[in-house]
Amino acid sequence: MIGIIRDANLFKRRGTMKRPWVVLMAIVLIAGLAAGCATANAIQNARESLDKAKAAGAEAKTPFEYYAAKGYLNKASLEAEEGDCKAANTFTKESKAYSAKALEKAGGGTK
Amino acid sequence: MRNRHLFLFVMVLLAAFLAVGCGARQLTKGEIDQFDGISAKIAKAERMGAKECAPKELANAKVELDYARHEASEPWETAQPFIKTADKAADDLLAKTTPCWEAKQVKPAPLVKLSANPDTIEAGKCATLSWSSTNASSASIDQGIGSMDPSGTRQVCPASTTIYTITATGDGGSRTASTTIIVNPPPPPLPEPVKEAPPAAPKVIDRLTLHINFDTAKSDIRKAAIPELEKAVAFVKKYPNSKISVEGYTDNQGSDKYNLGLSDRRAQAVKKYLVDKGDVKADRITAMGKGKANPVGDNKTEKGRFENRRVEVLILGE
Repeated sequence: MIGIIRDANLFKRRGTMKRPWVVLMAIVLIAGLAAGCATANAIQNARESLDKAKAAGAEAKTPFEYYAAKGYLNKASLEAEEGDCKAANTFTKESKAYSAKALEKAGGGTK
Repeated sequence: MRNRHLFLFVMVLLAAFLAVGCGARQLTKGEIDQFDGISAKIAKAERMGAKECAPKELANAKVELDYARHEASEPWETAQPFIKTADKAADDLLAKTTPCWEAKQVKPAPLVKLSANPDTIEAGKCATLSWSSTNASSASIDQGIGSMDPSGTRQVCPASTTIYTITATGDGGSRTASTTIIVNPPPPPLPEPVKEAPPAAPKVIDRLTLHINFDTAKSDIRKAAIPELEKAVAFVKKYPNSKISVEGYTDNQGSDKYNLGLSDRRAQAVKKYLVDKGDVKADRITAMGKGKANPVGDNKTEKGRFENRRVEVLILGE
């Protein structure tokens, strides 16, 4: 990103890009792309939540919540692989929510 | 300037790409119906207790439905494979939930009725048992009848008052019903008419045979007969407490009817003499004619016929 900003300054220095809103637009776009990259971390967090729920016995104690969390996590991974970050995030959130419920019902706490 | 144009071109391209990517495809009516159908299946399964009966399948169906909705909204995706996957997941969910739900249902207990027609019979007669049941798969009746259809009839002929009990069995358990057939004893046979035993012939303890000369075909007492009749008076007075029978007889001349009448009149004449002249109470004396019965002589001879024309005075014992 710094490099891009530097490139923008370069444009400015060279006089080929004088309008600062163009730079801002580029920053916003790049930030949006960077946000998509954060999906991998979210999926990893969801996977850890699922593992905690499983460790608490959620697979047997609260199978619906556990398998829902697992199913949404799989779909999130699929969407992430396909590059659909929005869908991946949506499914990741669902997975984390079900993992939290499973963990709570299984007696493992809310975290 | 050229770089600027290049930069703007990239920006427009990115914006177009994002615009296309963010735009959701409009679902067709068929797809909406398909999703509604899948949702209905899942909702039905949930009402049937899918969360307890098939939690894994329920979770899978919900995830696949959400995934299919998402994929169907993507402009570049073909929705049908995902819809089919979701639909299959919903079917699997129902397939596993339904038997579980059915097993949990409280089966209604069977109902059974049993009656007898008539419910009161005479010994040796029969009655008809009728029964009907609901929610029963089988039925059996005691008293040796055994397994029967859940509804039906059967003739029974109990020898004595009997309680019949039917047991109907179904998925919801067993129920019983009873009926009683009262058996009355047969009416006593009509008493056979008592044949009156012929009165025992009173024992004759003494007898006197009188040969009284009556006019032919007459019963009037002639004076010549009085000595003979006085012998009778003296004879009966020896038995003041005894009953007396006076029997008249004839020979065999004439018809039976005539002889019976004639002998009877002559016996009555002797009785009258005994009552009038001998002071014998009339109720002590019975008089009857016996016609030509009991001949004591040979009717072929005059002497014999004379012997047969007689009056016998009999003293009867108690």
